[in-house]
Amino acid sequence: MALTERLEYDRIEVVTKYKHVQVRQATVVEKDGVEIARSFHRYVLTPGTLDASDNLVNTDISGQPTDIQGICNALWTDAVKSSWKTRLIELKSE
Amino acid sequence: MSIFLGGTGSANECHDYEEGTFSMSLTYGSNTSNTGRYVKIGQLVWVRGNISMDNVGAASHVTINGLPFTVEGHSLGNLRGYNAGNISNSGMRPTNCVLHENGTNVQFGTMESAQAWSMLQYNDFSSANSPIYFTCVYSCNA
Repeated sequence: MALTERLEYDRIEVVTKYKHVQVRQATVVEKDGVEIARSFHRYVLTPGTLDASDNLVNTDISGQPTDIQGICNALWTDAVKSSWKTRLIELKSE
Repeated sequence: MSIFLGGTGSANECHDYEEGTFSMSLTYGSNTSNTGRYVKIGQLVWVRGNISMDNVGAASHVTINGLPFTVEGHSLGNLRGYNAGNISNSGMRPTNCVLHENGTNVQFGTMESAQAWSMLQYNDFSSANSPIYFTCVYSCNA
């Protein structure tokens, strides 16, 4: 009998006009190659955050899997980043 | 796969149930050790978490990043509890969690005595490692 555990990024969703990337990371447990359990961990990647001077600091995606990096790089255009920066500044006063 | 409850129309369709965990971090401080839990039913998301502030010097809104889904519309949640003894500004009384449209974080609204609604700040606390516990329900986009 062999129990194994592996990580799998099994769902990647793009939501809002600001191109947020919602990522689901699954931990899959298998017994002799047959899945017996699956649990989920979630996070959301946004184009960036504001610094103290309201400059947009790009989100560091260097630690993400290459396919997720590719999606973020394709979606997060200058126009999207600019729009998201505007929204972040609005959020500060809401 | 979907299930239909109370009818067969699209408004009766439940096609998504999920539960799991998410990681939290603060905009100030380095505490990222806590893990929150979520349950998602359709577009409805319930989250629960707690985290301790290790930096209480900043004149900035207490903000917990890391929600598992982007918030669709402005929402309010409940503080399950907080360490009131550590709030140095006695006029600040945290009342609700505040989640902003298109945001992925939680802030905390306060009602100052005889004043307007404002947000809890890090420097409202007198000592580090002050914990905040919260529970929120909100709608998400997908």
